[in-house]
Amino acid sequence: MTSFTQRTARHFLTIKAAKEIKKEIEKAGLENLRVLAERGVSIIGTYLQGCSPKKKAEHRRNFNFLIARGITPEMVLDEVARQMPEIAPIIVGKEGYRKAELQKISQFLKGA
Amino acid sequence: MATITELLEALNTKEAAVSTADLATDLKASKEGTLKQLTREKDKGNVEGNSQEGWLITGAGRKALEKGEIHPSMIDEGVTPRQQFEAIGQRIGIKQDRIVLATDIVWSGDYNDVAWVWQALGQADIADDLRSVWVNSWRAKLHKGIPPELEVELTRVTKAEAEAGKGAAQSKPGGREYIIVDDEPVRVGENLGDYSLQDAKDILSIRALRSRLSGVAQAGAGSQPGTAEKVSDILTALSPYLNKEGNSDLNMLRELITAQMDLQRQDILSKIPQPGQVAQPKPFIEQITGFVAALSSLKEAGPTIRSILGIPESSGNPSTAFPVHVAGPDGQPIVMDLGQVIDWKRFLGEEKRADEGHSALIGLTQTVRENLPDGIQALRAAAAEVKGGIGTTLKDSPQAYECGQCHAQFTMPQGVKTDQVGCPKCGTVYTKEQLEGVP
Repeated sequence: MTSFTQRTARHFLTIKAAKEIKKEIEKAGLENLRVLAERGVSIIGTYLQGCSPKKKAEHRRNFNFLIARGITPEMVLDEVARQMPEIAPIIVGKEGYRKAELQKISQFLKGA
Repeated sequence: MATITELLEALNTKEAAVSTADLATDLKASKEGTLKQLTREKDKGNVEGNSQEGWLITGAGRKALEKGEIHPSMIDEGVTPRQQFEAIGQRIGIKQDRIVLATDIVWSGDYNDVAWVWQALGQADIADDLRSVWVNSWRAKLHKGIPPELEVELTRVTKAEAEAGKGAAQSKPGGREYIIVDDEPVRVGENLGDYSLQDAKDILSIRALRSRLSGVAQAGAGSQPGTAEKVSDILTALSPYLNKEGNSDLNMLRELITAQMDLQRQDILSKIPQPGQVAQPKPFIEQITGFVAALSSLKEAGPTIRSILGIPESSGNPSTAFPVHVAGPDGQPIVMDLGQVIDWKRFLGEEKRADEGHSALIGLTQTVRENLPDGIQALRAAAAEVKGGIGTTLKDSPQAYECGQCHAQFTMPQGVKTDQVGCPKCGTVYTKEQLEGVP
């Protein structure tokens, strides 16, 4: 049983994380992401693979912070899809692709 | 020594025979005195026993104790005149048998007569020195004065000597019986010498003091105190002599002043440059060297000298922390510590260097960040690769042109065979030749 304050904090943290991802998506270009998704190339895997070690550590720290407060990667992806309806068909539409992306995130958090 | 009552009460409390030593311990008295008291009480029938078997109180002793009839006699207390007379002889060191003999002779007459006691002791063949001590002590016990006929014997001073002593005492203020030979007072006779005995001693003390001071002055000429300080020391030491009165003191004072003037004269002569010595001015280098030596000695002197001179304690380099006195705009002297100024300048320089180093580091970090791989770029590259490869994409991508009017970017439409293309923003039409001429 979580308190109202905890639930509120979790909600706002999810929104903030989704906003950060939205910025990155806008930088990369929606068309590029769509192309990658259509070809089955992992967007998250490609992105994380291209990050510097410092950036990787920062992302890992942020994800762990969210998980510690009960915010799962699924919740963040759903929020991203809510904020960017045009990307929803890419992420949410393909069930297998979405699951693979979540596995990429869990592998990344485990240090793989 | 305990009283007889205390002795009997102590025995009355004991059920069994008690030894002399235990009884003496209980009464806090000597063993010998207690044994003597017990022996006397045994003769009276108040106690029974002996030292070997122990002592017990008898029935007569208990009755006497209950009646309170125990009155110590002079013999019990050991304070009879005979006992006191014998005690004096013992203290002097005369043998016991001689004491008994002499006491018997004295007690054959009037022992309160000092002259008879003197005569009786003489009959007992007591030596004169011991006899006079014994008689004087006995006389003091009897509170009697010296008989006129025994004045010489008991005082050991002849009449002539006594008169001479009186004369000396009368001539004391002006009496000059002594002269000084080899730092020793020698008596040469009444009114034949230069000083009285006390004056001769005083003068010898003054001479010893003067010789000591002059020795110190010759040994350490560099570190000797000032002349005024020496004079003060001498006057302080001789104040008891200077405050005295009399003709001999005048001689002593004259001698003292003469000695002191000699010392001062030697001091002054040593400081006057000799005629053959011409004082040459020191060169500049020597003056600088002397100044540096003075500074180093000041540095070694430590915080005591610094506190005396009012130099503040420096936290930085001690060699630079030296106050500089300069005149301000109003003409008032200003004390400036160059050490603090130098420290401040050094601090500013270090801050400036640290800022420049930080800026260079920030720029380097920015450059590294720009060159580091980015996730976004990876996504773009991956997308381009998926579309057909990077090289192919770059090679096949249409050539971008910039509008000369609105500076908008546009490309030549693919698959359209035309020699003209219009800017999508402002509509300016460019020919193919124009576009290829201006990439």
